[in-house]
Amino acid sequence: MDPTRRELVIPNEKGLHVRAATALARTAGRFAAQITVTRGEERVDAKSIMGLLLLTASQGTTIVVEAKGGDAAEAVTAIGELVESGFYE
Amino acid sequence: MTHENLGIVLQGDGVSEGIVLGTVARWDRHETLVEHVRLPESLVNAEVSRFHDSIARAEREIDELYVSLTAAAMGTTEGEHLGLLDAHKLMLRDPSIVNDTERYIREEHLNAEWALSMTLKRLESMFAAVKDPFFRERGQDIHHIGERLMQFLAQSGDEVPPSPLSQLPQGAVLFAHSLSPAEALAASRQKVAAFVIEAGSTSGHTAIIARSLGIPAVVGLQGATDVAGDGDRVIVDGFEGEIVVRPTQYEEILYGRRANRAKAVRRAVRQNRTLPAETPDGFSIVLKANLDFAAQAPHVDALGGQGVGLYRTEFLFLDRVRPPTEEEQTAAYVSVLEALRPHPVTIRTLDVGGDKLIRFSGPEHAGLRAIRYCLANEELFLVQLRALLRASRHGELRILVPFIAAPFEIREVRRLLAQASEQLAARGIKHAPNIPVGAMIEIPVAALSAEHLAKEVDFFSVGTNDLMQYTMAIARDTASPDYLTNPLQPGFLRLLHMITRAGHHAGIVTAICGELAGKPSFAPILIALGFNELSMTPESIPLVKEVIRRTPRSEAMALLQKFGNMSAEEAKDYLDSYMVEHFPDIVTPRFRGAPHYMR
Repeated sequence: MDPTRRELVIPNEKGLHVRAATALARTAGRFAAQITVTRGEERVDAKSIMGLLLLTASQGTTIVVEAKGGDAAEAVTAIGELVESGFYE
Repeated sequence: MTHENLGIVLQGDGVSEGIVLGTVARWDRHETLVEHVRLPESLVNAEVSRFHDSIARAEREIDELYVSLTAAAMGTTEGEHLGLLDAHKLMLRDPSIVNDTERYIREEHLNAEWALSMTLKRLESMFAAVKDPFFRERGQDIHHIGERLMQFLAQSGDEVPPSPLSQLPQGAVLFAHSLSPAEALAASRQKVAAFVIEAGSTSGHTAIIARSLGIPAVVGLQGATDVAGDGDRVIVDGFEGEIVVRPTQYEEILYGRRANRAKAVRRAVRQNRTLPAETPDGFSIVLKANLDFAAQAPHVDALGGQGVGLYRTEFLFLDRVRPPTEEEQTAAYVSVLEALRPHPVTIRTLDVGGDKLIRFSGPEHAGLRAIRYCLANEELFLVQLRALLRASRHGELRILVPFIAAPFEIREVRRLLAQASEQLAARGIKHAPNIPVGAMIEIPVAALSAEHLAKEVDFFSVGTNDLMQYTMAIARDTASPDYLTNPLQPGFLRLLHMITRAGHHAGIVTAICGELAGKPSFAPILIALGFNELSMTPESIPLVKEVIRRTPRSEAMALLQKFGNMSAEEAKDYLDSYMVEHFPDIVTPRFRGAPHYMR
C-alpha cells in the first residue's frame, strides 16, 4: 500500500463542512508536504479551506488524499485518522 | 378578516429573549469602490507587503473578537459557533486568496485592492455555482472577510478602520441580511436595541453576542429588509421570534403588555425560583410543568417547577404510518423521566381520536377518542403500557389516563397494566412497583361521579379546557361569546369544587393541568378550591408562584365566597380589579377596545 495516498469516506453527518474543513486544513498545515484532496475530477489543496469547502463533500462521499514531500506519509496518516474519527465531532 | 390597518407581522426564530419597540436601521453592505491602478515595477514589493499587512491586522482583529466572544459564551454550549472565527482566520491565509492576489500584484502590477477584488470575485462565483445550499452559503464568509480586508487596505498604519456601523441612531433595530462577527460586535457596542437578521443558519455569532448582552434578536426572517424602511417603527419580540413593522397603536399597546409581562417573569424567576409555592398562611401547593418533548426538561428546573404534571405522548404517534414501537416509546419515556429525576413525571396515555387524528387509525374506530380508542385497540395500548412500565425504573413515573367517563375504564386500565406486567415478566423484565394511576377529569360526568372515581385511582388531574367545552356545550375551534368561556360561571366553579372535595375525602391528590392553571389571576381561585397541584407551560410557573406566595389562602377563600353570589361577568371584573390592586407588577389593566385579531 502506498503510504502517501489514501482513499477515505467522509463519515460525519455534516460532511466536509466548515468545522471539518477547518480541522482538515489545520492538520494539513502542520506538514511541509504538498497535500491534495481529490473528489472525482476535482482536486484541491488540502491546506486551503476554500478549496475543501468547494469540494462539497457530504456524508458518504469518497475522497482521495495524496501527498508529496518529506513528511508525506505522516501527513496522510494524520489526515486519515482525522477523517476516520469523524473529525472528532 | 382584514389586515390593512395592522402592521406587517413576520415570523422567524427568536434567538435572544426580550421585547423592544425601536426604529429600523437597515444595514446594506455597500460595495467598497475599488480603484484600478497599474503600479511601476519599483512599488510592487511594497504593495505585496501592504497586502500581507492587511491580512495580519484582520487576523489580530479576529483574535480579539475570539477573546470577547469566548468570554461572552462562557459557561454555555455555544462554543461551536466560535469555530466560524477559526475558519475565518484560516480563510485569511488561504492559498487560494493569498497566492492569487499576490500573483496579480506581481505579474500584472496591479494594486492590492484590485488584485484582491479579482480574487474574491472569482472565489465568490465558484461558491455561487455550488448546488448544495449548505455549502453555497459559505460564499458569505468570503464576502465578510473580503470586505474587512478591503477596509484594512484603505487604512494606513495601525489605525483600525471605523466600522460603518458606528453611526447607528439611539434605539436602532438593526436590519441586515447577515452580520459578520465583527459587525455584530460593533453594533452591540453602539447600543443597538435589537437585531433582525434575514439569514438563519449563519447567525450563530450574532445570537451569542445578543444573548450575552441581553439584546433581543430574531433571525431567519426572509424578506425583512424589503418590507422595512429606515426610520420605520418596529416591534421585535425575541421570545416568540416575531417582528411587527409599522405597528398600529393597538399593537404597540399589546406588545407593551407582553414586554411588561416578560419583565415580570424575569423578575419573578430571580425572586422565587428556589422558594416553595406556599401562601403566607402556610398552605402549600405543588407547581409542575406540561411538556411535549423531553428536550424541554431543563426549562422546568430553571423556572422553579417541581416535576412534570402532564407529559403528552401524542407527538410520538402523530404523523406516522405505523405506531411507534415499544422500544421507541420506552426510549422517549426514559429520557423525560431521567431528565426530571428526582421529580415525578406524569405521563398521559395516548389521547388521540375525535378531532386529534392519527394516520394509522382504522375507520372502524373513527370517533373514538383517548381511552375509548385505546380500549378498542388493546394491542396498541398494551405496547404503550409495556413501554411505560419498562421506563418506570428510570424515575418517578405516574400514569394519567385521559377522557375517563366511568370507573369501569379505570378497572380496564388496571387489568391491562397487570397483563403488560406479566408479558414483561415472561421476558424477564422488571418494573417499579406501585406506579400511581390517575384519571383525567375532563368530561362532566366524571366530575359528577368524582366520589366513585376517587376510590379507583391514585390521583385526579383536571383538564379544564375540555371540561369547560363539554360543560358549556361549546364547539372547539369556533369563536364563542365570552360568557360561554368564562370559567367563573358559578356552575363551573361548583363542578371544580366537587372534584377537589371528592379528592380530599378519598385522600388523593387533585391536580389541574388545563390552561387555567397557568393564569396568574386564577391562582387565588384554584387555591381556594383546594387544588393540590397546578401544572402549566413552564414559562407560567414563576408568575403563578409569585401570586400564590403573596395571597393568603383565607383571602382567596373570601374571594371565592363572594363569587358565589355574582354573575360570571361581575366575578371577572371583580377578579381583574383585585389583581390590578394586589399585583400591579404582574398584571396590567385589561385593555378594552383592542381589535380581536388572530395570527
